[in-house]
Amino acid sequence: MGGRRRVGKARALAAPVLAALALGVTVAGCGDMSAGAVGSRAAIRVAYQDQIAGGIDPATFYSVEGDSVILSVYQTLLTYKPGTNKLAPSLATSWSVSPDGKTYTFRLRKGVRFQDGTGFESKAVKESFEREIAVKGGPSYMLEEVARILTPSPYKVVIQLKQPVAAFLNFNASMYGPKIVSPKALREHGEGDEAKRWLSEHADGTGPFELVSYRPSGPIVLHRFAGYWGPKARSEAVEITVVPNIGDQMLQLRSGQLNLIAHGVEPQLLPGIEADSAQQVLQFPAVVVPVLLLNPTKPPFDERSVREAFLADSGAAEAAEQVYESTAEPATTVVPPQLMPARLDPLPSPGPPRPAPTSQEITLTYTNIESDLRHLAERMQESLKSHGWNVTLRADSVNTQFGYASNPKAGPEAALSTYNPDAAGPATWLDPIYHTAGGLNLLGFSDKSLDRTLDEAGATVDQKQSLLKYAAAAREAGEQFAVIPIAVKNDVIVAGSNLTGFVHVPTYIWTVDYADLEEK
Amino acid sequence: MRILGMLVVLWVLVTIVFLLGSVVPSEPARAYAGAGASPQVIAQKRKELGLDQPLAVRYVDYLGRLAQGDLSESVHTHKPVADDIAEALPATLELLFAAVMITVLIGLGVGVATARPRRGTGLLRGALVAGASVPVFTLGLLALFLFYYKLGWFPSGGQVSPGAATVSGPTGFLIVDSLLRGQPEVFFDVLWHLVLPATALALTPALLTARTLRSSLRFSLRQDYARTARAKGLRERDVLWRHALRNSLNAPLTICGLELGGMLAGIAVVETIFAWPGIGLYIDRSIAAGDVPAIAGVTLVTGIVFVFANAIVDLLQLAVDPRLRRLA
Repeated sequence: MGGRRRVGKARALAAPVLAALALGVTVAGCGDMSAGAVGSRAAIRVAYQDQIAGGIDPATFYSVEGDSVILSVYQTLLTYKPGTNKLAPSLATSWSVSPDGKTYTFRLRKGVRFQDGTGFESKAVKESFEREIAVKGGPSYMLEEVARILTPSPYKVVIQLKQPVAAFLNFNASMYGPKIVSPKALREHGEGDEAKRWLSEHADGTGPFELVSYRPSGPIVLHRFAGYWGPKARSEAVEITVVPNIGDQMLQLRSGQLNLIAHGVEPQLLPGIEADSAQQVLQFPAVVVPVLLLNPTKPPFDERSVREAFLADSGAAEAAEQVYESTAEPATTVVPPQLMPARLDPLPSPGPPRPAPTSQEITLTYTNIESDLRHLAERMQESLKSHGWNVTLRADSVNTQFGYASNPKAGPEAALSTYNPDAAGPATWLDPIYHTAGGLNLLGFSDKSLDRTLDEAGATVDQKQSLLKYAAAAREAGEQFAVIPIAVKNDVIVAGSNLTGFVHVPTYIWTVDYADLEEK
Repeated sequence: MRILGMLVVLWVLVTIVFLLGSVVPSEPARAYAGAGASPQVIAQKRKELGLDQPLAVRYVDYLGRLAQGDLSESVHTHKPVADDIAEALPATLELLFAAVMITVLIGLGVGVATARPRRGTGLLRGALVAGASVPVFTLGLLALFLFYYKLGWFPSGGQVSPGAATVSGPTGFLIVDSLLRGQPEVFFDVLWHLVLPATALALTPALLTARTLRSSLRFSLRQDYARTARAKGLRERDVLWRHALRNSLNAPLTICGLELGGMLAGIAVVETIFAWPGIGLYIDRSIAAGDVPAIAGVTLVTGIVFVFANAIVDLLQLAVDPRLRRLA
């Protein structure tokens, strides 16, 4: 009997509990569906495929997923005119460079406020730059040559460099360029760690949006900043969720829960999306370049003629056309044309296909998270096999690919990777990829003469002369057939057809300016 | 002895992951330092990360730090792995707990319902076999398509809706914290987000549990004590609930324990499909990034969770079966 009473009591308790849960879940569900993911229709709803690596501290942020949040909340001294790589004022209204190329003077915008309400003055630039140098995050190399920062007046800042840096202005306009953080926030949240912990999950800048909630795994919510100095953001808010699977993102877009997918949609899906009147596909010229790296530190690619033959037999251009369809152009220059006029550095032709000069097994690796590189590798393997090459494929993580740089002899014979420059200008492409000490020179390419040309170009103050030297370096690099651009990809954005106001900058990849977006 | 054995297993696992990470060429310092970093900056970063030390020194250092709860820094997120796991684990435990509850409810309900021969039980049995053989990723994708896209009953993923108020602390469990902070709307929102991933994770183990329970119950109902109970005039329902069920729970509980391992393995798939921000999603991203410290950290933590979960199952078995208590 006791057992029966217990069962009865449990049932009596369970019924209202379950009913309450069901009611709550129903209420929660109804709330969401009616309000569009609990946000309002005035919010732009975007998905990231991954959480922001390392958080949103602009001094350490050095990834791609997350740049749209950073660029919405913070600003740099300069920016680029929409759709171009031409420098434009941002927090600095004008700038000048000394004849020796070592002193940069920026006149600052008046009437700018941080999201905490404090005013923007030159000391904010000084403190933000000094913090970035001290924190030593990924982007800090852009300020590596800074010797002194002077603030002669509240609206004028003078930056003295140890030696000329050709890309310095471009660095200050770039996606990873030094952002200006509120001195008040730095003071209040310094806590002996340069406010690193606080700024990894909070933000205080001068951008058109302010951060109202941040969870590393999403959602991230931005609200229009009422005190913004420029034209106010058209949408009240931006809601960003993390949806790793692109298929799930497409489902959410179709159902209206999302209205923007900034990257990751395969070219083969685009015709179907374009046929749907509720969606639109937008393509913007970007500087995202799949690159073939051949390892010159060991046989068989220690011989230039073998590298040339490999490229000739790889059918790389045809493979790129098949893989990217209308979303990329085959590469025709060493430096992407958005960074340097195309006429200055045409990509040399490797000549017609020919029988493989070696029977040695070639390992061709590709970055594991990029399916387009796998497709590219498979097509190139097919073409190479037909000319007698013995090619095997392997997927590697980005971290593993970086590992080749320490010991290229232990690396693969060939690798496919995707590069994008940190800023506009030829220096940001050529130095990291072709210089012996370059951070993206992964398979040990080294040409001392080229290094000298690059160093000279970087230190040349006259912009035209510097450009000509970089062009000479690019032609020299191209002739080596060691690091070969395959294609230049567009940024492909899929959005609801009622979303308007897309503004894009070629070097701000996977990003549109949220401030201009509006849902009609 | 059992705990000691598990510690040895965890040590072996962590050592294998560490050695694998050392064999594969990788250079997190370069990834941290940036594309334009000078060799001096990269060298400095290598030093900071301890990568300039010989393998043996790094291994001893790693184990030493591990013993103090320091799981190194993630290459992928640039944060301490322990912090990443502390952030992600509560979400996984919430999902796991919900999945176990669903497993028990469905397993018990369906197992009991099909134990006695009735019209339609054959059909139900067929459905059980079919259901148990559907892979978790198929279930997840089907559930999304049907219940999110077609019917709009449930959200497509995530742990909480974008507009929901942010809740932080004190426990890290969103579902608990929302109640402690007096935010029932967040509590129900999380619960609503839990339904699809937890059900997708639980369905296969639940149906396996149901099949096992059904077999055990059928065996128990044929035993002498059940016959005696019937002879005493007890209704068949009472014979089942009061006598046969408790005697039949041992095998399903064992299956539940084994299935926990399967759930832990399947959690990466489910969390990725439903964008559930737990350690499954974290490990999925870490593997893609070749993030050895994160992989080793998650291996350690899932091992511990598995040991604890199985210990709970063992205790439950002891609680329901006096014969085991006597043996123990």
